Amino acid sequence: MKKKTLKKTLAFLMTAAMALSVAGCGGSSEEDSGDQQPTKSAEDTNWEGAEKAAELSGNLTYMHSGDDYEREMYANVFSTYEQYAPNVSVEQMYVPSDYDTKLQTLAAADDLPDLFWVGEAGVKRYKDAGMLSELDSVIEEYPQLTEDIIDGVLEFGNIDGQQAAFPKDWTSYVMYLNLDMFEEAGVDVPTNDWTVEDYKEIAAELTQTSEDGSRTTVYGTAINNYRADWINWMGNYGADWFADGKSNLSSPEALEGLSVMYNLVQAGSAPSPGSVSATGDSEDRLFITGQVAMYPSGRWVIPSFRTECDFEWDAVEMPQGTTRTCPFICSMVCIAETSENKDAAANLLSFQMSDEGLALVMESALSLPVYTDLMESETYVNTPPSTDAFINSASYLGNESQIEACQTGKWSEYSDIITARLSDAFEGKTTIEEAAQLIDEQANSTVFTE
Amino acid sequence: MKKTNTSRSGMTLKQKEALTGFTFILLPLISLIILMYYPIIRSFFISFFDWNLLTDPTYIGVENYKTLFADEVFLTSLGNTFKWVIIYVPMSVVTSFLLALLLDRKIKGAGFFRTFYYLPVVCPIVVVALLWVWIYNTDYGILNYLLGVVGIDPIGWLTDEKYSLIAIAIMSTWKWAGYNMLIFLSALQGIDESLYEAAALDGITPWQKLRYIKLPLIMPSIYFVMLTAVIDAFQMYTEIFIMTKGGPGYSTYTVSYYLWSNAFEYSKMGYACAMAVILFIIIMTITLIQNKFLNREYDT
Repeated sequence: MKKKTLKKTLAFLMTAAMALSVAGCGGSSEEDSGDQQPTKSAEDTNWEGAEKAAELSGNLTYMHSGDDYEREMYANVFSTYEQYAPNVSVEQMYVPSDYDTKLQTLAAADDLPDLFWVGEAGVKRYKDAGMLSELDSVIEEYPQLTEDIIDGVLEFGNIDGQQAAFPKDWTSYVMYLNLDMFEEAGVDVPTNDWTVEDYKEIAAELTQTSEDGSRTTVYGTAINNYRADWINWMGNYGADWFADGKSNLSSPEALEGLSVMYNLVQAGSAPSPGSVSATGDSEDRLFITGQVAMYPSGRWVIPSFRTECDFEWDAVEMPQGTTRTCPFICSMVCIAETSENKDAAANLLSFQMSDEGLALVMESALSLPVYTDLMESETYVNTPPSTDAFINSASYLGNESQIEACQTGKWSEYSDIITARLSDAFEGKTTIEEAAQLIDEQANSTVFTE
Repeated sequence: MKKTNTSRSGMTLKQKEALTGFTFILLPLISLIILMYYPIIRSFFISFFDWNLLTDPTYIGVENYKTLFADEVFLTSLGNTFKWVIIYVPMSVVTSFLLALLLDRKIKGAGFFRTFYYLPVVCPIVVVALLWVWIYNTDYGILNYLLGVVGIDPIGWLTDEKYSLIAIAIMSTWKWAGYNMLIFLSALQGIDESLYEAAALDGITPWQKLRYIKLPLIMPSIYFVMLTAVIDAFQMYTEIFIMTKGGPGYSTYTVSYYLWSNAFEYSKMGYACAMAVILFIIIMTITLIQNKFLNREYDT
């Protein structure tokens, strides 16, 4: 008897569950039927793609990297976009670490998301493999995409004359200053027109050692064994450090630029990058904790500086050599050739790059808009630090050598050679001239062999 | 005519037992074939191709192998890997063995000490590596502080290429010694007490006890520990990735680290597979040599 009751109860529960799931299916099919009305329309925005967005439907996948803060920012971008395009569903694929490997794996499995980010040096490989949809027609359809765009930024995504990727932002490269340390040391705060010679002198003046002189307690500055630093310093002396498909770091101009970094370490005004990484720490942490007075870096450090620096700080342009160059560090947005919804993907890209889309991202101060008109606006380039350094650097953004080296598709390998050999120099194992010579020999005989 | 015991299914008892046995091992066997043997064979195959993962592989014969032996970084990595094995394996095995000998006594709190020495094994490697990075800090690390107390100048443990591999070996020994200690300890405790009693009657010294009783009887465990330690040492990657990223310069590049860089950073999958094949051959050869000399008289 008991058994019978149990069976009946189970049968009832299963029937109820099935009924509920059918009802659930009904609900979702209604949702996906493609007739939802937008909660935002063309009247609410100056974004040119709003009208089309209301007509589009389907699913999009968008893969990106970054920290948790960026994940939230882009979730906000996508949900705002869905208000214009209620029948388009955007699936956010956030990859917090090891992004390139995961993207590569998806590419190898022929399962790329509709939209995804690729670093400025990685576009060529995906383009050569035929995995990127061309963006020239997208730019034609959405002219706002290139209106007032900063000179040169499109070039990094332009492969063999075709736009294959779109720069979503840029970061600039400036010198952050601990103003309290300047005041304590009685040193004048540099202005945007300072030179490399000024920089070296100030770095030496701000460096402090322990009472017995056995160790450095505060470094005047720090250097990074990182592409932005190399490109900046070599570019500041007008070096063609990569030319005709070959590495050319031993050219006099490139050597002069690299020597700035090398001499700062040799003089004890900056810690060697190896000694910093061996602490498990990073140069930006040394700045935050007051162990470094001047620190060259991109805009991406600002959110942490704003929350963690308990001293007055600001930023100025990088010191001038014989000229000035700002390295281009950026993730580019690509649309997969295999995307089944390229129309919607292009529309979403257009929204992301619109004034409204960028406002949702730029507030955090992680990066800068690629449009000159927005660079002047506090909504997009906010303070602290002062915005002059960032605005000015747009006028000398990009570098022929960087573009050429990036477009070989072999940047990672080249970059690792530079890192390893410069590390030897910074640790005192070789001179900077020897390191540059070894880099050229190794890179030109193993990487750039054609 | 001989009669066999058959069931209704027409199978003999032996056949039924065999079928049951095969059914039990089927799942692990399939996993092993798919997840272990197939990738090994596939790696060997890919090593003859130029493949960047994104485009179709191009057959290039033995070109990857030729390039490999002319590649200065690979040769440096190979040299570093051998150095690492020579430094780490004896350091690790001897430390584990000494710890096991110390704990193989009737002392108060033996259980506590066993747990104490085993604790680093259960700590995540990332945590341990970062902890040691701080211990090794040239300016603020406790190790240099202690050396300073006795008048020794600070050493760039992870920044000076003379010390970087040794520093990582010390850290790895600290991390893994507890694991091998447990294997040695269980072997030592498995020795029949009557052997010690008989030897004591003959007036044996502690050294003779170790030399003629303990060592011969735990030889299978020593063989096992040596074998796994050498294999692990040749595949060393995580510590390097966390602590030095191969630096300073190329001084801590190992074959596994360079292999990973080629596969996933430079997208040279064929080249990386060629390295994997070379590493496999080296490990296999050394294992066979170890097997010949260490396992001669002792059956594990």
